[in-house]
Amino acid sequence: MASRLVDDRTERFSELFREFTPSVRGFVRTMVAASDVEPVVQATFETAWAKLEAIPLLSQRAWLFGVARNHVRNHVRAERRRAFLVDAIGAQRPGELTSCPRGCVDPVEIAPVLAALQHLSTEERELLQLVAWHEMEPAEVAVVLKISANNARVRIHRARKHLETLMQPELGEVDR
Amino acid sequence: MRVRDPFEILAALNPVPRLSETSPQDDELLATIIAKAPSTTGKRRRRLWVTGGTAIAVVGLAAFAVFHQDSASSPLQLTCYTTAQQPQPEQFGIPMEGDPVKACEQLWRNGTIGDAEPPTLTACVNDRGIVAVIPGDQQVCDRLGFANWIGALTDDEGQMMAFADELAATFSEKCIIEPDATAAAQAVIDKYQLDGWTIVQQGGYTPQRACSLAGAVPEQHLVVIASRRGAP
Repeated sequence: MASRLVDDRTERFSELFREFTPSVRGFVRTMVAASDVEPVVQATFETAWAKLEAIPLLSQRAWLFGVARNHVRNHVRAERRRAFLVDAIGAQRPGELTSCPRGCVDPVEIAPVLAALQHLSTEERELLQLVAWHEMEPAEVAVVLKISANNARVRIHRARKHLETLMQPELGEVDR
Repeated sequence: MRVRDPFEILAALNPVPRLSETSPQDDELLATIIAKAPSTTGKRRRRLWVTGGTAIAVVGLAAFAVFHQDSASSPLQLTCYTTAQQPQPEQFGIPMEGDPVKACEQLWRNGTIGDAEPPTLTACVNDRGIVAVIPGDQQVCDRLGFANWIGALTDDEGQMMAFADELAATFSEKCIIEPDATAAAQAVIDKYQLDGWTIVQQGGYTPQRACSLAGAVPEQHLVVIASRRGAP
């Protein structure tokens, strides 16, 4: 019986690991240097292995992102995280930028976005990143940041407004 | 000029799909994690200290414990507890910068923890050697079985803590037999560029206790080596 429980646990963890390792890796890479990604990924899944029963089934990815974020915050200062985020975007090749599934980017638009990201707070960047890149709903963002869903919704709105404000001098009025 | 929503531009710049890759090493990583019991290596290491117990090793351990009482073994880490309970259901790790109580108060004020003004907070050193800022008065550390934190480690204290930790890890992670033990301890001493340290070999090796353990006694600049259970 005990052996069966162990097998079930191992199986559940293996599925979790296989399903979410790529997305956790992508999330971590936007916060740390490429050479630091794997230790954080490993630490994240070690935590998941230790706390498997505590992981909410409906928000496993968000829970893992929250753990990864904590591991990163323990090791990398905010200023460096900002640099890695910009580095991750900037490292894309022009070809990749124009084959974008969510609309193509005029090269003229890239520099202002990078500049605006530099001026956002760490939390604002995290919020926008989770919504824009990981396509998370406010409820999932709430799990990652350990805040209420309402709080997440308000903060996302404010962060978008701040991004618009920062980019207006460069790009003009926002077309909606 | 009117342009599209900056948020949409940001979304279109998404680097994540390119960064979200599987790795050829993933199966190996999965096996490594599963092979570990779901507990901290720190606990395992302490158990080794106890099971290897000889009189002199216990003295070394006691000295190490005193050293631990109000210092943190991870001085770069800080964790903010949301409630005064152990185990802690939810905690926030942040880099240790300046006053830990003020740093955690800030998380309460900006809404990261709870939605209210911060309660009275006290800095403790938790059972993993990390500074933990916990809601409660000065007695809260004691109630949870932790030591009160009294200040940042000096550089020398930090180095000594790292040395003692590495020494213990070196001897607990593999079986170092008696003839190799002194050289292994000396290598760690040399790595930390410590002068005037003495290595004492306590002995007590038998076929069942063929491996070594080592402990640092910082006050006496002493490393004590003794036997522990195990075979190479």
